[in-house]
Amino acid sequence: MIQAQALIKVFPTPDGGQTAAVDGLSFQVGPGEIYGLLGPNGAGKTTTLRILSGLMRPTGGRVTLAGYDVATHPCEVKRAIGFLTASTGLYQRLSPRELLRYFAELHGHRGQAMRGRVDELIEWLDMGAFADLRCGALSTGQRQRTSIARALVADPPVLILDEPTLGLDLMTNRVILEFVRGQRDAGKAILLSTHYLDEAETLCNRIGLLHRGRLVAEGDLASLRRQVGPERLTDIFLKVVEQRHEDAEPPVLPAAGEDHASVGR
Amino acid sequence: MRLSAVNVIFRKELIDILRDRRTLIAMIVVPILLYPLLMLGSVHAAVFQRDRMQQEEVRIGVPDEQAGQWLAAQIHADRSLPLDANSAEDSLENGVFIVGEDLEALVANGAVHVALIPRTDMTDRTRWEIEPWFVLCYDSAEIRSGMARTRLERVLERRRATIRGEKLATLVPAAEQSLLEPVLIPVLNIATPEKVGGSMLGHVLPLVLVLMTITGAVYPAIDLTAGERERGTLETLMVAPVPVLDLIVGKFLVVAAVALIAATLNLASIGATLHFGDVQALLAEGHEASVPMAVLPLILVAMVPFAILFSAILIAVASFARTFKEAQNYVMPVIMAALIPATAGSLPGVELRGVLIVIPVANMVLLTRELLLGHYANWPAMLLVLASTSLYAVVAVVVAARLFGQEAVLFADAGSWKTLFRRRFFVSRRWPSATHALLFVAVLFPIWFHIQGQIGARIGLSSGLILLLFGVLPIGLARYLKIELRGAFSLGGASARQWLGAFAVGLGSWAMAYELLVLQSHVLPMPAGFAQANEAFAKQLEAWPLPLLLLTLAVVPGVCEELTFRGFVLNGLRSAMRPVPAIIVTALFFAGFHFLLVRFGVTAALGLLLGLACWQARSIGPPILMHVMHNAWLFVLTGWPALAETLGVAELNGTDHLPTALVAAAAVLVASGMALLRRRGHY
Repeated sequence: MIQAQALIKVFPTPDGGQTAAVDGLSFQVGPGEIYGLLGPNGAGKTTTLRILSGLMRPTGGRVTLAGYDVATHPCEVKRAIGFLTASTGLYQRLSPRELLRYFAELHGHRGQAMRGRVDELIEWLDMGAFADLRCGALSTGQRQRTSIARALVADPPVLILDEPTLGLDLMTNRVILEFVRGQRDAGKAILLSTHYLDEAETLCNRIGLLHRGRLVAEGDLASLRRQVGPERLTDIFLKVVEQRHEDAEPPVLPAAGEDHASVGR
Repeated sequence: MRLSAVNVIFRKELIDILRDRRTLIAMIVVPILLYPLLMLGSVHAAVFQRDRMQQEEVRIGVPDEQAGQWLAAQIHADRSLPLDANSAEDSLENGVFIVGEDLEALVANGAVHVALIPRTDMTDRTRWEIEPWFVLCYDSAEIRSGMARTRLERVLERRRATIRGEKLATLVPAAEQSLLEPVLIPVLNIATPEKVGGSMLGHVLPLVLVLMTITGAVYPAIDLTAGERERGTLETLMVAPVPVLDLIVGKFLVVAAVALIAATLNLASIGATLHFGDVQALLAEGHEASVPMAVLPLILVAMVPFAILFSAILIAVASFARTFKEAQNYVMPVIMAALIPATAGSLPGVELRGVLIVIPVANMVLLTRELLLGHYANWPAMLLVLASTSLYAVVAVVVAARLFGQEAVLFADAGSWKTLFRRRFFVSRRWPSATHALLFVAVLFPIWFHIQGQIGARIGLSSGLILLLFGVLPIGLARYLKIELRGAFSLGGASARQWLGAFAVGLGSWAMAYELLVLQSHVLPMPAGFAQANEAFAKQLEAWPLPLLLLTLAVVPGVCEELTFRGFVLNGLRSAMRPVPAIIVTALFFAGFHFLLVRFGVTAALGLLLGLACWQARSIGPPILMHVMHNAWLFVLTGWPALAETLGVAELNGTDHLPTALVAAAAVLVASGMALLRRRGHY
């Protein structure tokens, strides 16, 4: 479902140099699988997810998603994605129902079928009580349900979740986690970026540890334990990150010149 | 672009923005309340204040009792005479006399408004109507003092006229008495009440309308870009399967719609205020005036491309901002920049001609004024205003879409947006983008229009500037933007067959173009002066040797215009459009740059042939040959009369058809040439 091959993303720095936010990243996620992308702040998680969802163009490498190349078929790729983050805002002056219809229409769904799908989601996520209120008046939990419904409105085969529980209370957190499990069981390929290690431990089939744009360890929890040693994912994570910190210099590239465009070609 | 997606975005954004109280206040409440309050309120307040001041007592300083009595006598002497309409200004019934010694000091400290200070060199007070014995002392910085001086001066002037009349009457024989009466020269004012109203509105309305349209667009432009980013909805929207161009078009249509609604309400409110209030009577200074209602909808239609232009500019600018507040800071300079041409265009005496026709904002202010005054005879200039504004609008939309989709603009962590403008961050590319091409056209258009108007028929200068602007400039630009010259200007080679084809078209195209112009002249007569201008131009050519003429008027324009249009522009448009639409748009630009309405169709047709030739040959060479030969024909025929005689075209007057055989031969040459230019095989 998701295949990332040797992804590179280079950003210019204010001093005229360049820095690689993602540096040769490769992984894949199959249907019915939750792949956890873990890493400290600045590891390149969000950049990776933006590349996968077609928001950013990679400097190098290739991404295929649901059989489409992101570089050549961005719209087809976006049609196959449900995208959810905790920081995602909602249109304050629209109601959840209007918002869901809007995104369903953007995905090309029209008419009775579209309205039926929206009603179905509203019922499934128990949103009936607030579906016609303005989003600006909703509680955090209601907003998050609306965001989940939005991500699922086109019934996409792939879900990209960027720290979806960041800053949420326990109750809302639970709603999200149940939703993620439910979608995995429904056969969707799910890419989950988080730095809540407990969450990753309970949810993910496989985990990739990202550090300074590079994948430093990958596998299910059992294989990570075999590779690194400690029992808990938190300890595994800390050990790997500390080890890398000592080993590797930050991946800073030479200053940008006339031919910087050739990077990654 | 998918219209259905644009429609979905447009509907959602319109609902969203119309549910915002701030939009409603800026769009509806302000115009509905502002004008009645501002115009009626301020005019009535001014009138009230003026009347109040005229009712106030006027303190007049006099040197002694005797002078006070004398002045009172002058003031009351002509009470029976009919006074001016603004009678208070001509009378001093409420005058109070104050006797003082240091009258100048009394004026200075405001104790009196005006004073009669005796002159030391004139003691005789009886002959004041010939030489006044006093000096009127007042303080020009004080309004009341200034008004008192005017009123006293008028009263004394009227009294003096009466005395002079009485004295003259005793001297002039009875038969000649009529000579003493002032003669009123009859005048005929042909201005209709609508025109008077239009002229009155023309001073203020265009500026107000243009500024209100821009202001109307500001809030939605920020809300739909920086506001969307600040609220955290932008990323979700960008993940939706909709191209950026569709998103931005949907958004800017909403901004333009809101700007136009604001403009309509402003216009309606101004019209209603003037119609129902008594402001027009006060502003029209006694002339009969009415608001030219019929022209108001026309003004609104003319505002459409302008609203689109500014909506796109504001969206592009606001896209850079990460917060609403930041966007407001970015937008402010745009409004200030718009104010300069808007004010320049609204200055009295400035007319819609010359380079002002293509200067954004100023041209719209002037167009609105022309419409209000009913100057419809200036329609070519009006058309050019709309065409140039539409061109700028399209370019602004494309630029806005390009900026909006940029990573540096979308994400704070994707690097500074300055990377968009620094050459070292540019990526090498094979062809220009559509944005490059359109921006180039939009910038060059007003510059070339201005230069064309200035240089007239100075052949050498014109040729040099063509070389610079259409040859050197696009090449320099391509190098700056790191675009491969071979790709930007289609520098690939053509086959011998295609060169032959281009030669054949070059032989026949001039005759075809001439014949088309003759046919067109039956439907659209040549404008007066066109033939004379052509003759004057032809006379000037006689002084030039043929090779020099061919170099300056055939080779240089042929090569440079092809580099620009079939090179940079066509290749840029090709990166966003299919070949045929790109060729058509390029041909329209090509014709537009010749600024000759009467030749527009023919030049555009030539542009189509040149574009097709370039596309088929994948090379700029054949269209250059065609263009040079096309231009050269006129000079070859003029400089080689024997050939003209042989072809039967010795006497060309622009209205007679060419010999049928010649036209037929030209048609065959053009058709067979284009056939030879066709690329072989499937592609």
